[in-house]
Amino acid sequence: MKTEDTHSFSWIRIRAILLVAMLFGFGLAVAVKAFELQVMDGAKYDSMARDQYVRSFELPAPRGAIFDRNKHELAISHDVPSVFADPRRIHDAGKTALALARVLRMERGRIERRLKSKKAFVWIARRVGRKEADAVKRLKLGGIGLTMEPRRFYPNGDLAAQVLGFAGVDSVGLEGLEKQFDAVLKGGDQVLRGLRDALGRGALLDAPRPIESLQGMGLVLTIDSAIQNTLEHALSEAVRRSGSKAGTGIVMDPRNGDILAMATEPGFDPNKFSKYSASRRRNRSVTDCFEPGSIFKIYTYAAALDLGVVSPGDIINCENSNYKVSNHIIHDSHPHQNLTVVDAFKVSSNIAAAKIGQKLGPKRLYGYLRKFGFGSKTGISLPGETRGILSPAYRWRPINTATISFGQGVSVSGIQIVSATAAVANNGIRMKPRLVKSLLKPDGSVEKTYPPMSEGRVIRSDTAHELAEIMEKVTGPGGTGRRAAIPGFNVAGKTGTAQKVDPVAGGYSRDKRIGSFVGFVPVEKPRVVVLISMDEPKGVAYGGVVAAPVFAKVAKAALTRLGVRPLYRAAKDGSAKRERPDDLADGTIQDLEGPPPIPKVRVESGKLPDFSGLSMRAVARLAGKMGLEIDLYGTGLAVKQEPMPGTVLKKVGVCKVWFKSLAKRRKGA
Amino acid sequence: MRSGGRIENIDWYLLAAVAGLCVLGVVNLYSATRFSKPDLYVTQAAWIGLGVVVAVITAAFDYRIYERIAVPVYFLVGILLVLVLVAGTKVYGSRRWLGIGGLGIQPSELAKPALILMLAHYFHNDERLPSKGYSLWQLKWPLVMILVPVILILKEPDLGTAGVFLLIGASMVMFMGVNRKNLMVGAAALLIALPIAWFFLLHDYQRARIMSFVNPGADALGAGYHALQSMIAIGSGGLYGKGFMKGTQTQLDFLPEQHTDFIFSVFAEEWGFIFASLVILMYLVIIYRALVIAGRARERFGTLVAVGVASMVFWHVFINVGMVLGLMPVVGVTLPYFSYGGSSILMFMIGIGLLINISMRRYLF
Repeated sequence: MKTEDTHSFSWIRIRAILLVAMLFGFGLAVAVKAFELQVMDGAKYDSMARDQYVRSFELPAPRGAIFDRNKHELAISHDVPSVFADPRRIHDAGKTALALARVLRMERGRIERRLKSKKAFVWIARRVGRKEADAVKRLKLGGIGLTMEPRRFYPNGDLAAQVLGFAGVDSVGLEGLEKQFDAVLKGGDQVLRGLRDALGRGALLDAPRPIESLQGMGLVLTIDSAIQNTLEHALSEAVRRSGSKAGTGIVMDPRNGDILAMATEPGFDPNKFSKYSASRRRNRSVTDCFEPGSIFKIYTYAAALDLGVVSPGDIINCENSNYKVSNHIIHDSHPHQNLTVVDAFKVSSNIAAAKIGQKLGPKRLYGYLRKFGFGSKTGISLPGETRGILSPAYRWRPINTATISFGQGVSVSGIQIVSATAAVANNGIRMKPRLVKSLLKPDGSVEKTYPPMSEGRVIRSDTAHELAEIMEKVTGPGGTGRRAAIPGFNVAGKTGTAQKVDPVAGGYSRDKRIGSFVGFVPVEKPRVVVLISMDEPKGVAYGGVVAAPVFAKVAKAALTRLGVRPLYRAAKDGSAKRERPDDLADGTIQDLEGPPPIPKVRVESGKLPDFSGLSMRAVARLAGKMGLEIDLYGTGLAVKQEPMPGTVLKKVGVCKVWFKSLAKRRKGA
Repeated sequence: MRSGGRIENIDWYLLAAVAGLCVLGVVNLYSATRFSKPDLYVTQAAWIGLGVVVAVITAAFDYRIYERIAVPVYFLVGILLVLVLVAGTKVYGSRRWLGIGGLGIQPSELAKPALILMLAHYFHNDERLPSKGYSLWQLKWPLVMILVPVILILKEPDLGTAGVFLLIGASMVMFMGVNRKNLMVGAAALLIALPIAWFFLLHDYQRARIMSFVNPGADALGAGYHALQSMIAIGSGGLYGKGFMKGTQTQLDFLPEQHTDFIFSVFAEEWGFIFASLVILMYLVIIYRALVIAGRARERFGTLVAVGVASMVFWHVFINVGMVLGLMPVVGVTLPYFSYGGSSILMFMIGIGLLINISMRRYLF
């Protein structure tokens, strides 16, 4: 068969053409399908692909620090190791759990349960010590990894705890400023995306550390740590002495509304917040309201003087402590006949206040009280603020007008009292309480400042001065608040002793009282307004007894801290402007510790520096710069370190630094 | 060259297409396996080198020699196919490999050129040439020649390769012409045979694959996983692709069998629709030139061999690309010059050697 007949050849050609046509058909089918997949539906498949390989991580960025007004740290974040697992890569959950349980001192069953989860990521232990982390590292277990997570430290322990609040384990602010400014402190977008392969690997191979730029903003407060510290110590001592349930205090600069200190004792340590009850963590100055009692007369008198309803020299008949309004009888603590307005204030006559209130009438009194800020939130930047209880004037019956005039039948918060009193101190202009001065960027530069805000004029300037003079008498001889007097200064204030409303029996409780004192100093040019209120003191509950001395102590320390010089020398040589009862003059003015100086650290290259005197943050930052591993113990300022300064860095494995808090040092001093 | 042939008659279009595909194939293989099997592309290049040598040798002898040795070659391969069932290495549950030292070869791949030569030999020497085409009875011997290796390969089991055998054989028989009535009877018989095969011959996994082809999303993590992942990879590549070595589905191991049967998905993901179309076009060039060579061959043996090689390339490309695009069920068929595998490379290089051989000697008398 060497040749083909022509017939069969053309026959072959036809078939060849058919084949070529078939090829084109095939090519077309493939092209159409590929076009459909890649071009028409490309976006759909692209998103399907992304769903498979993109995985997002959420790791908390370092939380912004909180500073006091002098940039002392009140809250900082420091990276500590956490242990996690990828359960799908664990071969023997029992064995792994046993090894981890030993090292981490955890229950084995709990770990094992987590290791058997079907997730790609589970936490085993959050924020463990460096020792534990090293031990875990040494175990070299498959599927177990370590990552650094920022942990919140409150280096001063319980200092300003209720103001600061605290942040939980996931770096979420749960209370106080930590909660109020959570979004700011927390920082930027923390979702990091990564690739993942078909077996789910890749995402966990290297846990990315949060980028610096994600770090939250810092908060600069108006709080002064030294004044805060004094307030807390004074309150805690007073609580102990008077057997009170609690003591609350606020120190404010009336000129700008700056809160210099704010505390309730007993407090808590935000480093171990879970060990305390919610009632101790609450910032009562802001969240709780109480019947103010006689303190409230300040505002009744302010309204009356401002409207000219009464003048300081007017005589008021105090009815011998028996004044009938509707079918109620109002009493005074001591019976009085005719008293001037000034004296009625000084001895805190309820009847005089009631009569003044009646003269004013509900509408005008209510109007002034509203201007002083009662019945509405002050707008301080703290969560859970109460507006108190002040019913509108049209609901007042005659007896209400009378009792509200001396502080019964009205409920207020500590911050409202301070803010209203500060208006008297500030020539009649009320400032909005300011707790946060500014926000800081992670690099330390100012992101935003919160300027002082005026809430407007409440009373005329001369009324304010007139009232301040009247209030000054309270701390003078014969005044109810004479124990609030401070040698060398003229102090204006008002005592208050209120019966607590009994929530069980209804009406006023016979033995549960709140003794308080609010005042400002120096009268001539007020720099601090201080409120002290003691909750349920045992025995004598008069504000003049339980609260006034605490006021004196705190206000005096604050004045010293602020560098306000006494107008006259204390009653040492009799040349003083005014005589003071000796029992209240408790010695010379004691120097308060100024801001701890920040020591300059001489870093010799290659050698371990001396950390002593540095704050935790400074130590952490320095160590970070040097690439040094550190263990931090305690709170406060560095007092001890191991190894000793000057040790060659290469020989140092982990440097341990011990800290002691300001408060403890002062106690010892 | 011993028996002559003209270099100028070599089909350069054909060679250019093959060379282009080989280069792109190795480059693409590098991207697909640089992490999981970093040396694989070198091995593949070595196989291609060996394949070129084999192709040159294949082209060197006058192809009429192959007509004479077709029968012994066919039987030799038959023995290998039996041997693989007895002594083959089991991979993924089937015996397809014969180990020789460290190298493994798949006799079923080498059997394809052998079948082409055998059928060409048979028809070349067939004097009947019925004008209305062959009847089924007249085709009994070619059918035996085709079915014996098909049954042996099904035993391995290797459904895809068996199917390709049937298709190559059928293509060559059809090329010779089949009586229309008999063709109808054959088609009817096939239709009856299909359900029987479905229930009695196919394995569960094979049935699952075909079912998942009908609806790949229904069992996305099971039987439909390969098909769906392949479509996601190709689809997400878009018009211009994600870039060389930047295919997420490939690099992150979402694509199964990415260096063998699903290699085209890798290419389509990273290079996009335009280059993927270009690759398809290159295959069409090869098939088209093979058919041209068939048309110009000086006698029936050459024509039939060229048609056989063309159909071999065609069915491989059609089934493989159809599979990765989701046009066909998932069956293990390699993509010529792209898929990793020595046997596959050698088979297609022998095919090209045969085509060159025929094209060089078309005017020799």
